[in-house]
Amino acid sequence: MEEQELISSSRAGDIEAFNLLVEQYQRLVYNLALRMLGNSETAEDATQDAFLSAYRAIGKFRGGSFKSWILRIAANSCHDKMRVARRARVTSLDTLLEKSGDLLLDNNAESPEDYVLRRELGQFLNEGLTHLPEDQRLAVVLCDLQGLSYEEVSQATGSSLGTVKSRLNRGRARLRDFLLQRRELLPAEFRQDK
Amino acid sequence: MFSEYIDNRLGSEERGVVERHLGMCEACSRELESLQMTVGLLHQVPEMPAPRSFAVREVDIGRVSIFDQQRIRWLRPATAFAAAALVLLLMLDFLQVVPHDVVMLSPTPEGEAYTTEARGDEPAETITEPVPAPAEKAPTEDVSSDELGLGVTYEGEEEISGESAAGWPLRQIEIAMGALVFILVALMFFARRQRRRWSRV
Repeated sequence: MEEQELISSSRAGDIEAFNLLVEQYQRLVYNLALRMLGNSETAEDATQDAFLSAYRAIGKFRGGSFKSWILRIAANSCHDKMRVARRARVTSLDTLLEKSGDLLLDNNAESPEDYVLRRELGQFLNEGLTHLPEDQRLAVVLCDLQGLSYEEVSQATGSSLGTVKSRLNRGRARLRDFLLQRRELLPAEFRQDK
Repeated sequence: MFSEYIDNRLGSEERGVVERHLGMCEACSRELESLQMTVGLLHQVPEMPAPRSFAVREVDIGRVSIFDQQRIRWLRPATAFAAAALVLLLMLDFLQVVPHDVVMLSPTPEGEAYTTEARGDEPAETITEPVPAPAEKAPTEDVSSDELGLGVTYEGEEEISGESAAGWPLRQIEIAMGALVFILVALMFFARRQRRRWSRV
């Protein structure tokens, strides 16, 4: 079934049709939540909340890019989780970065040395991302990790194109500064003098 | 500008300008290289598979669906109607359009009681009517339903019924309507909070 048909059926209350959309987008939404929150459990909760919210709000979807729409809901869901964590002050940085090294591991077989390097790099990048302000982190994750165009990021964040460019510039520069402060941890090809 | 250069979003003319500048400015070249390194690292991060299915289940929807906009669309007009009715009642009370000076109280074991409402200089007064002893009962004949025991009235009861018919328990209606408006407003407030929490788009 085409995406538009699935959306129309979902709007009519067909939960099965909606779940086909979930199947199509769950990886994207989960990865956004994972990079934004840095914790797999919280990311799962945020992803589930995002799809529930999307199902309830599907009547308000007025066409356009469903991908941007669902990512916007997911970003809001992540924002809620971060706000709750900040308020409860139960999520320490260590907890947020739990298993962060695993975030870089894929299923391809690699040598133990590569595994260690990628794990360290994963922890490193994830820590860097959590140091960015939320709006800059969202722009960097959507653009550089999820490969969205500036226009799609603009729709997903509800910001103007100029704001997206500015957040992306500042986010990348800030992350670069963070990485360069710990350049000894970078892979050899990236170790360079600034 | 560097981000747009890295992401190939510049036109050929703007790109040419940037490249000419980079050829002359070492600081900007280093800046660009470091940013390209950062973006390159980020591009190395693989996408993770979803750890489980996030399919929406009926039971999850039911968890908060009582606040679904479709289901509570009656709430706003009902609140408005109840509030308008309350205002109307208060106006009627203020203007004393409806007689409501007699308020019934529940019967006491000793007898029937009712209270006259304090009005102006007259204080509130509680009157207790003695219930006639069984032997003294003087039933009023109601020929058609006598055998069924219907239509049998007693002296004290007759008097009170007469007073009750003359007045409305307006105060109680006002209190009940006020409570209803309060509950509806509280529900609207709670539903709005829930909708914001679950359906922020």
